[in-house]
Amino acid sequence: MRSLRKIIMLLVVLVAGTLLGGRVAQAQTTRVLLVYDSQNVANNGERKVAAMQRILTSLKLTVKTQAAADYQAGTLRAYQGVVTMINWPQVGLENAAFLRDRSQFNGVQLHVGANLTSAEARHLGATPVKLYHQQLILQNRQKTVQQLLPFSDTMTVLRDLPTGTRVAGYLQSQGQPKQRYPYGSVTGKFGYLPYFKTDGYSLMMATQTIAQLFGRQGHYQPLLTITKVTPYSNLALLDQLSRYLAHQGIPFAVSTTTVGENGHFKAFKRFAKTLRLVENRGGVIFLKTPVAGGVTAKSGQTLNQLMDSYVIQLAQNQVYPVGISTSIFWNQDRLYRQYGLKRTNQILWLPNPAELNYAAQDNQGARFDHNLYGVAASSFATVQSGPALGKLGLDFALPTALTFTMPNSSRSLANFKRRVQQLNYEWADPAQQMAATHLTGGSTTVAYRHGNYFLNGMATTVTNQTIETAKLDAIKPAENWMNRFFSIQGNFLLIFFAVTVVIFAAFILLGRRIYLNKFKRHK
Amino acid sequence: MSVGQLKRLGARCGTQIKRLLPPPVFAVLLCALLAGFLCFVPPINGLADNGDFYRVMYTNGIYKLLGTDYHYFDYVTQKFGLMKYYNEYRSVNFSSQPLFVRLAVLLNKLFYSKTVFDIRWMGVVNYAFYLGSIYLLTDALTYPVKRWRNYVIAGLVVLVFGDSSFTLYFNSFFAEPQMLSLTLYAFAAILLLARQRYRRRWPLVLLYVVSSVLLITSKSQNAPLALSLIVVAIGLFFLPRFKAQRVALIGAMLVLLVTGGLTYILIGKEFVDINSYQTFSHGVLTQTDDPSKALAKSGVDQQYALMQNQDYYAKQFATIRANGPYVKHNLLNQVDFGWVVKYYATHLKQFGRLLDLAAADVMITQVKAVGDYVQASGAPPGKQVTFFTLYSQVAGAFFPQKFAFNCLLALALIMVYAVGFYNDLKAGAFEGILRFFLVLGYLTMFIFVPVISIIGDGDADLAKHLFMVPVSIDLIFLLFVSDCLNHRLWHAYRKGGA
Repeated sequence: MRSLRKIIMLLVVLVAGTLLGGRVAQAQTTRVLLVYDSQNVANNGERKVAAMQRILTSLKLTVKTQAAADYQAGTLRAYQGVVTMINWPQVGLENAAFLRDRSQFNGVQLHVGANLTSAEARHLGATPVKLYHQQLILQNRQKTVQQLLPFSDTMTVLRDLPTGTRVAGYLQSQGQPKQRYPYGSVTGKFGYLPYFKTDGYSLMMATQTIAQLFGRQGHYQPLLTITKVTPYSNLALLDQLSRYLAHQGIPFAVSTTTVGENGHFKAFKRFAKTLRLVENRGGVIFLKTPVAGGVTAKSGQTLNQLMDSYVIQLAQNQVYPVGISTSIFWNQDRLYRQYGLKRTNQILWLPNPAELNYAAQDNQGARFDHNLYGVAASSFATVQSGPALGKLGLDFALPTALTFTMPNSSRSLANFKRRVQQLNYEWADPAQQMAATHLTGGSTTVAYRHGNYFLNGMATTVTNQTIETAKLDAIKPAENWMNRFFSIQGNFLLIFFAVTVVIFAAFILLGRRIYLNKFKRHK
Repeated sequence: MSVGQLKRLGARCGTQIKRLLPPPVFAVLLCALLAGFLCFVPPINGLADNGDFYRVMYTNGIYKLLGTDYHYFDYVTQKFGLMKYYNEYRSVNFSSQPLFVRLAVLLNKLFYSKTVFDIRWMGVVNYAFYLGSIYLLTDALTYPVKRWRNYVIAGLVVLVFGDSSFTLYFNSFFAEPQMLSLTLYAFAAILLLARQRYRRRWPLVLLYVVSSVLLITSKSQNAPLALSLIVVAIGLFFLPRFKAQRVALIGAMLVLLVTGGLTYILIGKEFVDINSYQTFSHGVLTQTDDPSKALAKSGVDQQYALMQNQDYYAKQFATIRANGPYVKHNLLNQVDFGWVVKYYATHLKQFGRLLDLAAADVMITQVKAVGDYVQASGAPPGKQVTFFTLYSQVAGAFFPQKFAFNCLLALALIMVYAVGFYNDLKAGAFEGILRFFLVLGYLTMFIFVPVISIIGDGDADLAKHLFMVPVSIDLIFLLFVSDCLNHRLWHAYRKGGA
């Protein structure tokens, strides 16, 4: 009874907070400056920067990313929000101009990580407490959901928070006496996260904090998403997988790359057919951007043509992607944004790969209408919870895709099924919950609204059969006397030589006989 | 002056010219002038980096100078940096090329600079080795006749091997210039032995073995050449008074075989992956309308048909990272050498088309993919040299583009030289015997290098992989012409003419 009352109270506080605090900030906050001290690649710090970019982009904020060292005085004036990210506490922020500008800044401010300055603590109206050598548990207020965190060296948490502070998640120490500190906290326009992780329950709480801070708090069910599908994936397994999910009544999404040519190959027809089956089994397709290799600032047209042909070739085969899926670094690149991403209004943001090949990096993230934050489902595997695991699914603060890597063997497919059963979420249904999306390639536009596909504005259905596209005749090179001469010359010489060799052999034999006969007669 | 006096004067002049400027010296002088003008007179010419230079540069302590524009494909880069401290790069391949590069670096450090490397020093090393080989080759082709027509032969040597398409390679970090010189040395050594140019034989036999070993190890794709060079060496068994040295000769042949084997085995793992991938995407999947079905039949997932013409390192964008674990685990482990051979054996028509594709590229020796000029010359990016490229242009345009033709040509040449072999065997001479095995060995290069290139790397970089083909057929062409001119095609040389 008491716990029920607590939950209701929490909900009331949450909703009220969202309505009150949110609306004020939302009206003006659009441009956010993300300032980090160091990429700290040795400790995978660059992933944290990328994950923060993804969260902010998914909240429909326009993000500019900058290293603190590159900050120039006065820059902040053009922004409505600033996120300070400490990736390498030993180095810290040393740019005086930034610190000065930030202290005078009156927009939304978020501090992530260590080195919380006393000025920032004052803004938050709380007392900072340093924790040393602790292994903490992150849990919700009711302690019904919790995840054990890795051991941490030092961490600054807050105590004596002012009333009206909204808290997302609590950190409980394991020693005696047990202490509980807030994880994410939002006081007015100031937010604080003592540490940041790119996945798991920490990420959920962090997104909740950030969404609250920027007034964009929502409640979303996660979308089950299969990633790393390519035309070279094991299509039989993908077929089994989609059949299984349809059978379980789980809607899902597939993020796949494709090829821009050879659409007449049997292999492509088979690939497209598998994707059509996905579409007919309650799945939606995200078109994954290609792998970038030796790109330069001149690669724009190539990318444009390639993406056009991806969309056209898929649409010809009744595969209608509902958006683009890509790594967040594509949004930090002028060329990739312009020629790759701006053809759609819905993007699924995935983590960055190990190797980032930029064509024209500018760190100016663009804003898209509809966004999904992709996070590996496996990072929730260690989340422990009471009976209400399914309810956890409601707590995602922004549209989230829980990603599973495409299985590569029947064993990994079985493993996938087991994991889906264990998670037991109430998954998002694109047909019901996804906004109207569109994707353009050349003169072809595919759109998705309430579970229906539209091709160039006309409603269309997806069949399960193989589609025969009109096959064009091979283009023959123009015949001129030169070409003809060389083709004839080749054959002529071939025949000439063949004949000559035969005659030559005959002559040798003949000559040999005559020569020997000459001796015989003399005898 | 009477006609008789004029004639005598002419004859005396002729003798003087022949004495002072014999055909080999004539050829070397001309080649030296042509190549020297091309490579050393500023603005210099050479070959631009196609992205392969780094393999040679870093392992030999050379790096791209910082703060300067480094051009791939478009322009030749003249100046590089020399590492001053410990060099952590290790060679990924077992190769003889570093010997030549190290020599160039040494000369550069002695005479030019300790910090900046000028590509012309690489050119100097290649140039010197090349001129030596031109001398020996011309000498071997013309010895011992003192006739004016031997100047024609020398002229032909210059026309063929002085061609800029070969000498442009000098100013580059490609292994081809060394391959050219070493092939010429090996060829000339056997021919000089056959023609008894020198009293002592062992220096020539040693020259043959050393240049063969260096040639085989020069590039990993040269490993199969060991077999061709062993065929050439068989002829040496027929040398008279050679019994005692036969054991040594067998030893030498074993050395060649082991060198070839080592070169093949020690190919870096990365290169094995690159080659298997390109063999697949640029070979197995090409020259066919839809490879899906054929793949499925050969036991590989038909979906990989969509990799047609993809590069291992994506030029710009790719559907999948070919150097990633997925492709390695699911495709490359399957399409090994045995699989490729079996595939081609069951798809002969496709293989034939690929061989014709190779045959079409055989005589095109100028590397069209990269520029030949430095940027300072003001030439447009990727500009090709046309100076003294007559032979390569004509041969490239008119040599028949059918592989079957090459086979027949090889057969005809073997038959021609078999006659000399038979006659000399009967007559107790050995010139024709050595020459026959020489021609046979080099013809195996002519025929099998395209086959191996197709099986080993598909049509990727085909023109460059075929480098040994034009060199070997050019050598045989020169031999054939010189034998005809000196009337020694059918039998060993007889003093006084036919």
